[in-house]
Amino acid sequence: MRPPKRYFVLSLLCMTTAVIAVLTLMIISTDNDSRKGDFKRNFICKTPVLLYHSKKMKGLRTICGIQENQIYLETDSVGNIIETDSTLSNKRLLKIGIPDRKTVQSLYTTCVDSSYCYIMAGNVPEIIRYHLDGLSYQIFHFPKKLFSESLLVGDNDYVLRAYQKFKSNWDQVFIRWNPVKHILLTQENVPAKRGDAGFSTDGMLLFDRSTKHILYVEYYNNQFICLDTILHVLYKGQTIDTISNTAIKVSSETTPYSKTITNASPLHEINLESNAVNDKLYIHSATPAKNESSKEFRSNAVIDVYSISDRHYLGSFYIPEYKEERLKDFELAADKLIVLYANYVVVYSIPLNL
Amino acid sequence: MKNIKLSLIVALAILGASVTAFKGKTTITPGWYGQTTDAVPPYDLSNPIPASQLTAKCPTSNEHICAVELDANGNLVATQRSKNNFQK
Repeated sequence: MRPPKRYFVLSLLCMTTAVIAVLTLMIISTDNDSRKGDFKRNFICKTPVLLYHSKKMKGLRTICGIQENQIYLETDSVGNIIETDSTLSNKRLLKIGIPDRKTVQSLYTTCVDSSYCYIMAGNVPEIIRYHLDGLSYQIFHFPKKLFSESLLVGDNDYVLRAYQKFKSNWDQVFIRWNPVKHILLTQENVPAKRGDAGFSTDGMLLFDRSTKHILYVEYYNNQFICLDTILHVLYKGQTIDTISNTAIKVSSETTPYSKTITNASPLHEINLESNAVNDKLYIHSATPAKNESSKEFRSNAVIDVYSISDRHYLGSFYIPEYKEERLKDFELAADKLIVLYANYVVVYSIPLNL
Repeated sequence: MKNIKLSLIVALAILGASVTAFKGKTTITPGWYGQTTDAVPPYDLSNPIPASQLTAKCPTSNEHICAVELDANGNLVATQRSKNNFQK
């Protein structure tokens, strides 16, 4: 006996429901990759014009200094710095001998400024100051705990984000340190203390020489903090991103010999690389705006510009991919934009109407 | 009636499988983010730990802190930042 027609209709309905459910889940899943923020961007510049590009170089990490006509690039081997001119020709490798290389290698930042190269070794913890002639160096041992972030703000004047224990939990504070003048100032109030070793408030320390302001841009928050050189908080600014905080959970695993604190949830970054120069704060945002297409957003790095002195949003511009590589670091010098990709360096011309 | 039951079972199975697959794509193993802790700090690029462990610990090459190592007494031993410890 043939089943009644309504059974087929019901069966078809069930199957259709299942297919719709799967499609809905797929659409939701795709949206997670490029979730648009509830804000609009004002684009102030067309795509930058490519001026010079380097040949393929491996192991590039950051742009660690720009001086007159020279660009310095940090590599993934401590003490090996690539020096090149502003046309990206005449490259040479500077090799600096590092004492206790193994521990320094585990966490370091390089900074080249005024004939000196600074290696900030957060896990030692110390700062090694080399003269670029390669003949002399000084080592300054940081008298407190380890530091995770460092910044040069003057001659032998540093601002560090260092660990400090609050009750039984580790967190991080800002410390201004001048080992020559024996200055050691601590700012404990910002960013917020959550007893998570500073994971949730992790961010980038920046220094704008023109205003002499220190900026701290958090990775997982739409907030940036502006401080003066004695670490007074001048203001807390907000980016145009509407996500005020993403849930960063930490967890730890303990063995009889050690404990490791790490992320217990996936990271959702709001701010990526950033830069402060000539009273402007440049932030590479991880969130597309309502008035951007997902395709454009994915093939470019979007940079939002803010005024440091009055904390207002000024506009945005795109930095394109180069040979299918995404931006890794960027610096602005006059009307030039120097961009580091995974294996290339590119110099663009960028007429910003700010 | 048998057919409708069968159809419902199939439909529910498809729905269940797709939800499981979706969950598998977006959620993380409870407690740890695919974590392994047998890397000896400080991490040394000349003697790398296996890439599978490294990417679990430092999931991207961005700059954020991905691990803080303490000794048995709770003293700080090292910070690991992704940019320092990530390898493709």
